[in-house]
Amino acid sequence: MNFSPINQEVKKVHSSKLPYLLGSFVLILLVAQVLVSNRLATSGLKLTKIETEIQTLTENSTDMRQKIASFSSLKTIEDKAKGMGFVVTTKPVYLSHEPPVAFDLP
Amino acid sequence: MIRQRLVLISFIFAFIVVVTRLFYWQIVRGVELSEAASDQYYFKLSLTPTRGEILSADKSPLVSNKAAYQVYAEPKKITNQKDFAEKIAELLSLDPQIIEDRVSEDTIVWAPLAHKIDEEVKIQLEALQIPGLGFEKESTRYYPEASMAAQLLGFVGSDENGNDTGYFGLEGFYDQALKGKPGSLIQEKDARGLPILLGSNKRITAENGQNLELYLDRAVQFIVETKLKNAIERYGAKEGLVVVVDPKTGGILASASFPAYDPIKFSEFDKTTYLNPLVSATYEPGSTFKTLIMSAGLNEKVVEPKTTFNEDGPVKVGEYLIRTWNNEYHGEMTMIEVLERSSNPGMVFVGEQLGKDKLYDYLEKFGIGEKTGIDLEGEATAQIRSKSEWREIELATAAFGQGIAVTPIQMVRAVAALANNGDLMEPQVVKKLIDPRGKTIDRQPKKIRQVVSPATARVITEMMINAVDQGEAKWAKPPGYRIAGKTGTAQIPVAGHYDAEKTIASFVGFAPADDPKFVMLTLLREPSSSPWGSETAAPLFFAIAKELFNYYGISPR
Repeated sequence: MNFSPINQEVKKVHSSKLPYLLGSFVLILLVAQVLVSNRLATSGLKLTKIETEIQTLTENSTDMRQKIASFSSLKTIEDKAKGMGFVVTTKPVYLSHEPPVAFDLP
Repeated sequence: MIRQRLVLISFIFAFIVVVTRLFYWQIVRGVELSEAASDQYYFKLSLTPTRGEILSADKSPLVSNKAAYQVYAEPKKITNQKDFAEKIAELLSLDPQIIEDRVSEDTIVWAPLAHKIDEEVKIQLEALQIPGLGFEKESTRYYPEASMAAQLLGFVGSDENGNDTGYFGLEGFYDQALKGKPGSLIQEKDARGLPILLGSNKRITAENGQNLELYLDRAVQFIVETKLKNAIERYGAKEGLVVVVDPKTGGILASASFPAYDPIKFSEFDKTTYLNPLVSATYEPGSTFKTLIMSAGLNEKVVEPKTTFNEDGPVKVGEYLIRTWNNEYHGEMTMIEVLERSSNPGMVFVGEQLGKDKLYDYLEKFGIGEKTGIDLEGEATAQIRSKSEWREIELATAAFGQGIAVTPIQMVRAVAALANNGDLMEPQVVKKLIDPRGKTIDRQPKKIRQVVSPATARVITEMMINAVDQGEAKWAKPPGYRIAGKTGTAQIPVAGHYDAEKTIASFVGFAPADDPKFVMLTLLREPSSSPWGSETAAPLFFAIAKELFNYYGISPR
């Protein structure tokens, strides 16, 4: 028995499909590149928006830090404390010994 | 044949013309055109790093950053230069003529007008809606505690190239660490100026400056500044300085001096105020110096607390007579009483017992005449004369703090050694450097040397406690506390002699004496209410100490 003619036919079929397969692959890649490029081309705008947003948030954060620092400055606290009627302690009371478990008050 | 040659020559000529033209465009104007093209399709940006913050010990910012604006003009868009100048001059605090001159130049397309303008001013300028006026965002220093510790912190100004640079204090000393490293961004852009992600781009990220965390406690600083201002006013002093140090680490807890300046408006102040007298000014320490010489005598065992000396009148040293401060003499007295009564003849006795060599060695051991190595810009030091040049009178006067000059930081560091079991520490302002990624560099406390033994330190501490409890300033001392200290009243040398009227009043001490939490030096220059340290600098010391006891929760005995 001789099977060689059938093998040759299979090879021919395979070799005839390969260019189409490669061509299709190249075509798919080209389409993909066009799609990706198209997407990325419009991403520049998005990137700019994101960077602007980052910049704005950074600036807001700096402003907030500045305000917190300003409100918590000792001069501001002193002025507010005075305005609320606080006075400087002139005679502090010290617990020079360990306090008892309970005070026996009359 | 001729025609063929003519054609050949024409071709050669044309070739030369083309090559010459190409040479002109590619080589002669190549760089310029390349840059012009690059400007069209590349977006270039210099990324400025944010300057590091300066934080107090509780991590509150003493120096931070805030947004500010550079104001510029585009002369080609301005129709009436005079009108333009008059409209904005007042808000920018500039002379209208200067603005007009600047925007009238035909050759320029962009003219900077003012730097570091506040947001409020920018809003007011924008409201005017003037064509040709623009704003560029920039950063400026912000001081939440206003001018607190100004001379310690320094300020940021511009160098000759217009770049922000730190001057004086910490801003000057740590300028490189604070300023960071600038970066750059080069990115391909489309016709609308938007970045092309598929295009080439190169980003060198800017590295922000390091933050500095200080030993300085802003509450202590606040107390010190308030009390010092009051004291200068009350005692009519010309200048004043207070420094508070942690004796165990050498960390500066507070440092104030007046007159000072406002770091935001530094250019409006006298340049002499930029220098921090803590490290830049020298003075004769007077009687406060006796604590150092007495401790040297005790350490060398040439005197003991109970060693007696007969104070029966002025002491003759060479052709000079050394008197007591009030020209009163008390006969036989111990070394404890010598310090208590601040006896100059008694200290001459201690100096003589020590001898020139040992006294000189101790001056060097205490760091007199050498820089302390503090991390502040502008540290000065007064050199002490070489040992061979010392005469008998120099030895005698140095023993009671005259004829020798120190900086306040040298003096407080030396006394801090007595409060720290005799260990001399390097004074430090910055505790930590924190980089933008959060990595921390801790500056460890640095022991320089052992000056006196712990036993001597304990003995001199007791003698200083006695000097406070029994001395001239005992009336001002808060009751119930063990405070070690010594007053000082030094005359001011003027043109080869001492001014009879002017003095520098000072007090140096530490508390609580058994486990010192702070060492403090108070110094008032030319107080007019009284020339004496016991009546001016000492009450200031005790007023601050009282507040510090409350703040640290230290109760009386």
